[in-house]
Amino acid sequence: MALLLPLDDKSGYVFCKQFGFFCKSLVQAATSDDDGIIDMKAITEAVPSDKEQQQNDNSREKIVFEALCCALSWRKEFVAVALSSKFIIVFRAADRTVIRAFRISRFPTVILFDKDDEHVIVSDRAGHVTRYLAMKSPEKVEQRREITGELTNYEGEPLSGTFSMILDLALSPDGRKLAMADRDEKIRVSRYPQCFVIENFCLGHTEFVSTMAVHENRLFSSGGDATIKEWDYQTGQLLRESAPLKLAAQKGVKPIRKIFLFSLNGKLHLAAFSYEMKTIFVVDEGNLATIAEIPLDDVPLHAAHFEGPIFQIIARSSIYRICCETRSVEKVETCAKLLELLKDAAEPMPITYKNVAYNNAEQYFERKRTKFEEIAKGDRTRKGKKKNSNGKQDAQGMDESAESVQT
Amino acid sequence: MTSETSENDVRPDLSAVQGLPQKRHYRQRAHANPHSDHDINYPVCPAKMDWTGLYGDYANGRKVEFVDVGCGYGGLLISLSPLYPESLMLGMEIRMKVSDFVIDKISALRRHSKENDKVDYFNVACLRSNAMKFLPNYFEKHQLSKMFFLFPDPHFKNRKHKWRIITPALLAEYAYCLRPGGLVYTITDVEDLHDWMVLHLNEHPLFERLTDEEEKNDKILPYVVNSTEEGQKAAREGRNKYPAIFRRLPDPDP
Ligand SMILES: C[S@@+](CC[C@H](N)C(=O)[O-])C[C@H]1O[C@@H](n2cnc3c(N)ncnc32)[C@H](O)[C@@H]1O
Repeated sequence: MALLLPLDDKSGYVFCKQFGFFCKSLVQAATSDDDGIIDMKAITEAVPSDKEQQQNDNSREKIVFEALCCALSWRKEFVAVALSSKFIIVFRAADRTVIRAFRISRFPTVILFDKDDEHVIVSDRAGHVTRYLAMKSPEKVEQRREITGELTNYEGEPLSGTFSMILDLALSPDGRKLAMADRDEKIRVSRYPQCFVIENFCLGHTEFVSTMAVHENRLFSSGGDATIKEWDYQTGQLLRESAPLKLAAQKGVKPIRKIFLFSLNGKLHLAAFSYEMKTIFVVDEGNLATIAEIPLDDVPLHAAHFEGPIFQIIARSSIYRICCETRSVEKVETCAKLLELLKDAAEPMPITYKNVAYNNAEQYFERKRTKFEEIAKGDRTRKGKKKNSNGKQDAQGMDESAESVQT
Repeated sequence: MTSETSENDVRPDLSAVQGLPQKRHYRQRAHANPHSDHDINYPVCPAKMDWTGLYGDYANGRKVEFVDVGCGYGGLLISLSPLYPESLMLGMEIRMKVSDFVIDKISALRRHSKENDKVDYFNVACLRSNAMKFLPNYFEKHQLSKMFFLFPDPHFKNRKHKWRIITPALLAEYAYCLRPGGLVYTITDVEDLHDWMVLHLNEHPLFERLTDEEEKNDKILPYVVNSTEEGQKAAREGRNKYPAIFRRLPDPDP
């Protein structure tokens, strides 16, 4: 896994393995080994831990150290990175001064600053959404309850929770609504930070929802079903939807992992990336029709929007700059150290389609039918012959006799 | 039936009904993992749900109002059905065989009622589903007026507390489904679980407990205490039962 984080139209950060690389110009010029590097592993190793945390630390030894998600503060001064080692680092974008480095208790999936840049909102694989102070450490960390009611010694303020992995977060322009997309096909829109008030669910996707983009009162989303859906997130109403995005020759769909809104010739468009295909879909927001399929040289590990029609993807072979207007794709010259790390970068976070392997219900009703037929037959014979009425023949069959039974 | 009857039995007398299913054919192990992907057919959204499949024509012009979460063998639904003939009630039960028992029982009751030219029990139905995941797929915002959590699985171990049916996370979803003024009924024979449910409902900004007086006068409470299989069992085995009722408060001003 590798991540791109644009700071402005040119510069940005690239995260790969334990390092963050500051790149003065991610657009045309080569990044050089002299550019600033932040060693995230060294930073987190210096953070002291308590007993509960140590146990949690030890259990993560086998985990590849990498950045799982990152965010830029709204005033573009600070960067927050969430790591596979269950750490969050907040640092100053300009000079990599570490503001905070702290532990969280579960694998992060998405990180986002709230609109006043006071907190980072973090979702995790267990479906929790928690916020943490971004700019200063809490004065005192007391035992608290998770959103599941469990006690924990980790800092943070629980906001929301689902029984499903959270795959994307988005804030409304005024910062007062938080949208959470999950693996159970749902988008939940809560108040922020009073997330206990769920305003709406946007329901219509038939597979996981992995990406959202907000424009005024509207929310765009996509995911495992590869359709783009447009919602009024104030009401949860589905306004419009596209056909699944796919190449003409392609059988089946590949999940869309990232959508961006951008302006092209004064009109709103969407760029959609699958992290399994060498293609960018450019979609006209007016009718949600695909107007271009831009072929790529490599499969993206991560995609980022710079300015206007300019996007970049990071892949195992390099970083590429794409212009959705001219449809040009250029390799960005990248420093040797980063190239070396990229070669064996891990896959983006896997999101699996639901796998209901065995058809439980069908089997059950089949067994029930035969069993009740037998019982009926037994009843008839019993009535006819007036004997053999032990009635025990149904002690098994539907009973899972090996399992504990409770009414 | 007689062996299960206790002094406080509030359940209707069904002795005249033919073809009621026998529980022994539907037993299933006690716990289903609420996290796993069961093969449950849930609608994409409430508008896509065909309620006539569960209530027949009785669903026309009516919406589900009461939900019994983890209804087990359905004792509450069957008992409340005659009291609120105009309200649709739904039992949600994750265990397939258990829900199938309730479905078969309701069919037998409806058959019997039809033979007598009545529409009794057409207002109750049971659905196999995971209430911890899919409530918003079935119910619109503020649709429900009552939710029941009767003798829920206690999940004793600390590590399993997060599987409990009352948690701050799930309360937000229940509050979404319930209309302001709607009621949540909880009851358990496990004191620790009672404390847990009361703690989290009390702490949640959208719920407030009814006063003792209000709880005492609640018409449904006797059914909550005595109509379900677990309630009967606790009584037979002489265990205390701890009921509580909470009101869904209006959302605070934004
Ligand atoms: C101990 S039983 C109580 C049954 C019934 N309410 C009574 O009082 O007799 C709890 C029931 O909740 C069901 N259950 C647990 N989790 C559930 C879920 N997520 N969705 C639906 N039902 C669930 C269990 O299968 C079980 O039948």
